[in-house]
Amino acid sequence: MDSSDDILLEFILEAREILDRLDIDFVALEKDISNEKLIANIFRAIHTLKGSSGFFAFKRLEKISHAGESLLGKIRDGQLRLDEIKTNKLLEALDVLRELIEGIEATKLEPPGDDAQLIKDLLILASGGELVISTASNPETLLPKVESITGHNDATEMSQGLMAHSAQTLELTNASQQIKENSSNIEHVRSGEISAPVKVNLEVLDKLMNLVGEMVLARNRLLPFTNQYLDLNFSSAVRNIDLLTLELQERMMKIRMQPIAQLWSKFPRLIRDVSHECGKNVHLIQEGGDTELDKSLIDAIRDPLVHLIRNSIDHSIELPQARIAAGKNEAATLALRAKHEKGMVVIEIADDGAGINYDLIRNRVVDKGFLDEAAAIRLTDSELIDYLFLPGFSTKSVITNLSGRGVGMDVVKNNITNIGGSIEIFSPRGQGTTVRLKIPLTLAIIPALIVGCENESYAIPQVSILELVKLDLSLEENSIEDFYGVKVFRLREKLVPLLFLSERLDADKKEPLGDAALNIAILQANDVRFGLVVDKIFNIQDVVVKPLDSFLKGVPNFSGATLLGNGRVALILDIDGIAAGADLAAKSQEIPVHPAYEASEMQSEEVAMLLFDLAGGHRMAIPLDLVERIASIDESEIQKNGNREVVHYSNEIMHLIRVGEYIDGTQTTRGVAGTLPVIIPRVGSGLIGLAVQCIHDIVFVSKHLHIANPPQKGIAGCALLDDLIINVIDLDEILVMRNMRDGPKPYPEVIDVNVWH
Amino acid sequence: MYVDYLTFTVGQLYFGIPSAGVLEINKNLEVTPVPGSAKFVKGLINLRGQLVPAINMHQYLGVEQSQLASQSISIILSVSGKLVSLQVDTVGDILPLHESTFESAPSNLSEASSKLILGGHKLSGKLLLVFDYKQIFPTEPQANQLNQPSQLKQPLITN
Repeated sequence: MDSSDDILLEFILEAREILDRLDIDFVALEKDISNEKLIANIFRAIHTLKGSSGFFAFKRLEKISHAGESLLGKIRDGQLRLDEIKTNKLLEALDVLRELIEGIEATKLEPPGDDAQLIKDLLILASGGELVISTASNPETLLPKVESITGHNDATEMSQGLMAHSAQTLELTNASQQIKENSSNIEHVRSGEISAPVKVNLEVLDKLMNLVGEMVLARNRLLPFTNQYLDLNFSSAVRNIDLLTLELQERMMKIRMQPIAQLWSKFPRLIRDVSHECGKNVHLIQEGGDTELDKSLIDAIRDPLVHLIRNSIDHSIELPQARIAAGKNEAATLALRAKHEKGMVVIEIADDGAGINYDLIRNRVVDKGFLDEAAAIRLTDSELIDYLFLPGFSTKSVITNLSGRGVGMDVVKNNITNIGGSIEIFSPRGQGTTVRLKIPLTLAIIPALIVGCENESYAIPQVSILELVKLDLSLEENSIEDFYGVKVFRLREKLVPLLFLSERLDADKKEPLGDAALNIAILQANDVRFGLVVDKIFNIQDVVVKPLDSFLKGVPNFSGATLLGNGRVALILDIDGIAAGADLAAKSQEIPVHPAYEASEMQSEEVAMLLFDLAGGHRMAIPLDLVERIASIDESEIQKNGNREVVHYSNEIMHLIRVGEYIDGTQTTRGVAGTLPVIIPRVGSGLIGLAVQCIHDIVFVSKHLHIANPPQKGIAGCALLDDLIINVIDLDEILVMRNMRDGPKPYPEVIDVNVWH
Repeated sequence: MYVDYLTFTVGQLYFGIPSAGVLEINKNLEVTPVPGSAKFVKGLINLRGQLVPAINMHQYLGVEQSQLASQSISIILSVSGKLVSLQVDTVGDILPLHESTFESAPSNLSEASSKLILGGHKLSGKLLLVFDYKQIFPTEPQANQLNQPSQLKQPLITN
């Protein structure tokens, strides 16, 4: 079964759900005819069905639901009253819809047929007219339905028409024969192909997820005991539980996470159809389709996204002639972008059309009687955008198939805020519209750094962390400086503003600055980098993000909470919120990210490198991905272990590698003034320090290295940074060289073999 | 008709809540404070993997905190699927009370207080205040209202 079949299957399941719900709602409505909420529900359900059928070009479905929607729209607005005739007609439409869905399920094609009478009736009712006779029992309308079954499957529209004609001459027995064949066909397909995935209530999954989370915590509590009781049987049992728990956790996450591309794969067709209908030429770009998010979130953003895309094409993008007149490319570009950003999924729908017509909104604000003309003129563009989110606010005066019905941005916004997300619209005049959805990962496991402050633990999402710095204030060269009331410190000759976590959490608190060493996490908020001083830095671990409930909504500084291995609660810091709370990034929310910058970040043609020097001024670099941390050690602390050099570092033995020894043409690294900068890379399980002359900066260079020819030992290639040529070291090769040199020695192997792969 | 009430005290006040909403009672659960939250939110409790907000009933009701309380007792309630913990001083018996002893709040009870207290049961010797625990969850603002610019007062006219 390929992916388009999957989507079709999903559509069928969804349509059935909608129809089932409509049945119930209609019956309830008959009893309580003036229930506006119910009418609105039905209206919305039909609207959704219509929208979905639009993807698949199921014309009959779309036309009938459109007609039904027109009638319901009038009823919803109170222009018409629902009576028996209207209910009957709507139920009849519902039955036809159900037939169509069944036909689609059997053949994957929409059964052809003629619904002109039904649609006409619905529209007559919608326009307030009366039906002369009830057509439900009219044999003439039944006939085409029977005919239509003969022309199913791969018949083109032309031949369908022909067959419909010829079918009229068929005898009834012949037709019934066809029906029998057809129905057996349906049965066959049902038992074979469509074994619908088991539907599990999300609540059940959530419960299960919680249990798995608890299981992880219980496992964490169990692990330390294996060190206490050195019983082999016990250890192996615990190890087993450990592995099983890990797998359980991974599977659980996988069940819920799905790439957004699954949703996006529906859009090219939708965009093609909508743009054809509007007579516009639209080119679609998709970026970041592999961004995964929770299944429930994917479901929740489907309708909003469809709506936003339709809006973009219908409202923002101009007709080709207008585009050419404006000096733009005839084909408009519509970009869908998704990515993870600081624990949120950011989805952008950006077009390069004319953008929002602010004057039209302003007129509409006055027309609808919200404000008088004088007040409306004073509204700024961004204030006008707020009005788009009002229920029933549509700038389209003509109701089309696409928009203008008042199922509008208010519904989109509601859907997004209901899942804890936010929606922002940027539309500089004449430069297109960018709609930015921020969807939280309410249910996600993220890596986070656990820090301590005032006897409590807090978690900082790892995505925000640039580096960790220990600033020993007792040393002369380190100090916190006062930048006219703002505390800053120098990080590689750049000033970084400092915030104290204890002060951020408790406004009355003022941190006395002694000679103590400060633990500083250098963090990247929306568009600002700052240092956050914490009491202790523990470790990085995967945490299960739990949303804060309604009591704690709106509490600044925190984006969620998590449970630690010891069963304690740790609050997850909202780095953007902290930065904004300290006025560091007050404006950041209002600044749209420059599309060009976004694109380059997403494609990540560049890679971050840590720049350092070897003795003799050789400029070298190591991919930042490989670097775990950077430290500075005292040369006097270096001890000998055979012919190797080791250092006691954070309660472990770190093996020192003087990089210069392995690269031809450089000299052995020696420290300056007794201290030696050390790069600690991420390798296997052992701790290794690369001693270098000095560490400079982090730079971005092209991913594609120039390969040295002939290859040089220890160097992977070189990169260009402006005019400078930088050699990028080959860490694996250096480690291998080191092991080979040590190989013949009778000492046991120290470096984990993992570094060899 | 008799209804079972769980009784508890906060400071000098004697309260009851219908026991049907009570999930469990726990002693000395660890509460992690949430800096910046409302005063009456004492923090978060880890209840078997679920995060439960703990309400400091002294703060919530505006009662003086008794210095003597050496232990905290948590009454875990389930309100329409959500859990909340009331931190109280002591927990008493479960009493079956008949509606005949019930009397609604006196009319001069302040509006804020009458939101918290449904009424009282006249027991022999003391008064049992019926705490309206369903009110404790903040009312979620309606999604529609969030969207409306503040100057908007009149209802919308839709075509």
